[in-house]
Amino acid sequence: MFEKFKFLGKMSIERVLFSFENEPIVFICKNKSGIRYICINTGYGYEPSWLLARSSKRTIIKMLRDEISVLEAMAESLYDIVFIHETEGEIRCERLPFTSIDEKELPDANEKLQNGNISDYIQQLENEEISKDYVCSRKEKMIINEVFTAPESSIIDYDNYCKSKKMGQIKSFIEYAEG
Amino acid sequence: MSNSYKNVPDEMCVMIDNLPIEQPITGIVYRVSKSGIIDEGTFDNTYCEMLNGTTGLKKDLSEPGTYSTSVYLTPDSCFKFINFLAKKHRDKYPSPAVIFGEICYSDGRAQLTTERIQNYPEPVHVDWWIYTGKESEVAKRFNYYVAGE
Repeated sequence: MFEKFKFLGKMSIERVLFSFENEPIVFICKNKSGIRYICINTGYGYEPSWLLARSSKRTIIKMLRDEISVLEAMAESLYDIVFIHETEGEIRCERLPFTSIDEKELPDANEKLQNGNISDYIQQLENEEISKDYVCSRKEKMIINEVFTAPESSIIDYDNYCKSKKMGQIKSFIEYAEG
Repeated sequence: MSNSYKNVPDEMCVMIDNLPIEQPITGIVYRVSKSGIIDEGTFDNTYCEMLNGTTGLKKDLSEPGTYSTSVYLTPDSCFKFINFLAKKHRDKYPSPAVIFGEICYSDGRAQLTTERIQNYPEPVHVDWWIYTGKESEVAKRFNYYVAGE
């Protein structure tokens, strides 16, 4: 579906969370590096358009549990939102901070998944192990440990925490480790 | 001679007529009216929508469901679909609506999609093949559905 955009990596749909008339509307894509994107097909059959947000496992699980809406989950992404759309017959791609996306391109902000048939997927995500192959320095290990063992309230802001320590790579690792 | 379904090729009409349907669906169903209007066109099958450009979707032309009108046994998916559309589509379709009404046996054939396709992702999706000429009768039996009714 998104092969044209090499920066996304080779993506495949990991799980369709909501479909309509057999068209995936909300779904999770995963690339070969294990990075997950929350994807919304906001155009259906009218005008093709998709929003993709690179997301952590933690955020995805909150969305699956209906603790946050799908759009709130996208807004939590530490990365620019990928906006793919068809304009004048050509598929185009933009990368924008969530707050810069035109309101008209967004779906209802409060819509939650409310899908009762995804407990197996939640379980699968929860059971995934953190990569053991990552080699990091002592300081990095310390920060990672702090982030992974912090209470939920402080974890939410771990991106800023990493940024404050000028540890951008750590932020990337945590995103990677969380899948 | 097979029944006729709007714009459906003859060979597919035969296939639809001969589909084994164990539990024909009748009773109340729900559908999204993209235009917010209830008229004959509201019940165009997906293939018709592909022909007239109402949808840009490219569906499998060998699958009988492509020639059906999609309806649901519950309204939830219809509301959710509308809410996940980008707001810009409201410029073209300002008032998409969830509508509801009854399927009668004489309108055509109707089948729970999972009866034909076991792993179909929407357990309450119904394929409804409406006989040509029945569309206006069908439209008269449908009305707007308000959430919580």
